[in-house]
Amino acid sequence: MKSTLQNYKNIFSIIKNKKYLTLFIITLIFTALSYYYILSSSAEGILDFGKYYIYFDIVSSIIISFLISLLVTLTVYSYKIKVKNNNKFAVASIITTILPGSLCCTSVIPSILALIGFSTSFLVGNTGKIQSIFSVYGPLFIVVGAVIGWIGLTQITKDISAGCNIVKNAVNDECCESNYENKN
Amino acid sequence: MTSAVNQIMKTKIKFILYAIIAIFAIFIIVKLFLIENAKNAKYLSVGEIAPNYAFQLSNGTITSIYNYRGKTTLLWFVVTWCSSCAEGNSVLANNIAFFEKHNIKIIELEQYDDLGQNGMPISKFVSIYGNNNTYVQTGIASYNMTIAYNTPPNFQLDIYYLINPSGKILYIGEGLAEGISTLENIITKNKL
Repeated sequence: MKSTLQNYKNIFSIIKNKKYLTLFIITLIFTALSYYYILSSSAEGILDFGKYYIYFDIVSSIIISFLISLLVTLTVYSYKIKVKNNNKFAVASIITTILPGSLCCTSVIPSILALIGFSTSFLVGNTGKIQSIFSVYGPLFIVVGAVIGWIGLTQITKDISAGCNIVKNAVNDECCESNYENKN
Repeated sequence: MTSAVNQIMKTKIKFILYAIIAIFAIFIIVKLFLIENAKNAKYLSVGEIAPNYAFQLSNGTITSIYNYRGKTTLLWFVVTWCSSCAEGNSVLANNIAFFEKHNIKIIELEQYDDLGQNGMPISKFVSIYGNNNTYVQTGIASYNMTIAYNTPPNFQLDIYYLINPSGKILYIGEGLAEGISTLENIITKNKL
C-alpha cells in the first residue's frame, strides 16, 4: 500500500515537470476529442443506456484518454531515463476501445469475409453474428480497455520507481529525471 | 547496456512500422476488392426504379413496394441489434413532424433474419428507441429483398432509400442518424 502511494506520488512528480505536463495535456486533449468522436458517432452504449448514452460516451472518453495520456507520457519519460518498460498496455487499451466503433455497423467485416471467399448466403446468415459482438458488448470493450490501461499504468509506475531506485539514491518527492540530470 | 536498450527500441519501432504497413496493405486490398466487385455486382443507384418486392408488415399484412406508388416513401433497412440503427430511430422520432408535414411514408424493415443475429422484434425496437412513434410502418424484408437493396459485399446494417411517387430512387444513404439533415434538404429541394 505504501509503495503504491509512493508510485502515484512519483507520477505526480513527473507530471509536474513542464515538458511532461505539456505532453500529457496535448495528448489528453487529442485523445479525448478523438475518442468522443469515435464513441458518439457510433452511438456507443445506446442499446444499454438509451438516450443517456451520450453521458456514457463523454465519461468513457475522459477516463480512457486520461489513462492513455498518462501512459504515453510515462512511457516517454521511461525511455528518457532508460528504464525498461512494457508499453503493450497502451496499444492494447487503444485497440480494445476502438474495436466496437470500427468493426460494427460498417462494411468492414462483410468485405473481409467476401474477400476470403464466403458466399452471399453465408454473409447474410452470419455477418450479424460477428458484428453484433461489437455492437451489443460495445460498452464492455470500453470497460476492458480502461482496465487494461489502468493495469499498464500500475505496471509502468512500478517500473519507473524501481528504475529510479536503481539509477540513483531514494527519490522522495523529486522527479527522478531531475535528480539524474543534477547528478550529471 | 545503452546500445542494447537502443537496439531493443529500434526493433520495436521496426515491428510497429511493419504492423502499420500491413494494416494499410489490407485496407488497400479490401478497397480494391470492393471497387472491383462494385463493377460486377448490381448495386441500386439513384434514378433507377426501386425494385418491387413483397414484404410482411408487423401487423401480418403482406404488401409490396409498388403499393406505395403515388406517395414519397422512405424505405429503411435496419437490424435490431445495431447501435447506429437505434440512434437512427431516436433521431427520426425527434424529426417525425417534418416527415408528417411532407406526407412521407416511412417503412422500416428488419433485414432478413437480422443478418444472422436475432435481435428484438422490429416493432419493439422502434417502440423502445423511437419513442413509441407510430408513424413508422415496420416489417421484415425477405432474403431476396435484403440482398437487392443491400448488396454484398458492401453490406450496411443501416441503409435507406428515398423513393418518389413514381417509384424512382431519389437518394440512397447509410446511417440515418447522421444523414437525416441531408435527407430533409433533398425532400425540401424536390418539393416533396
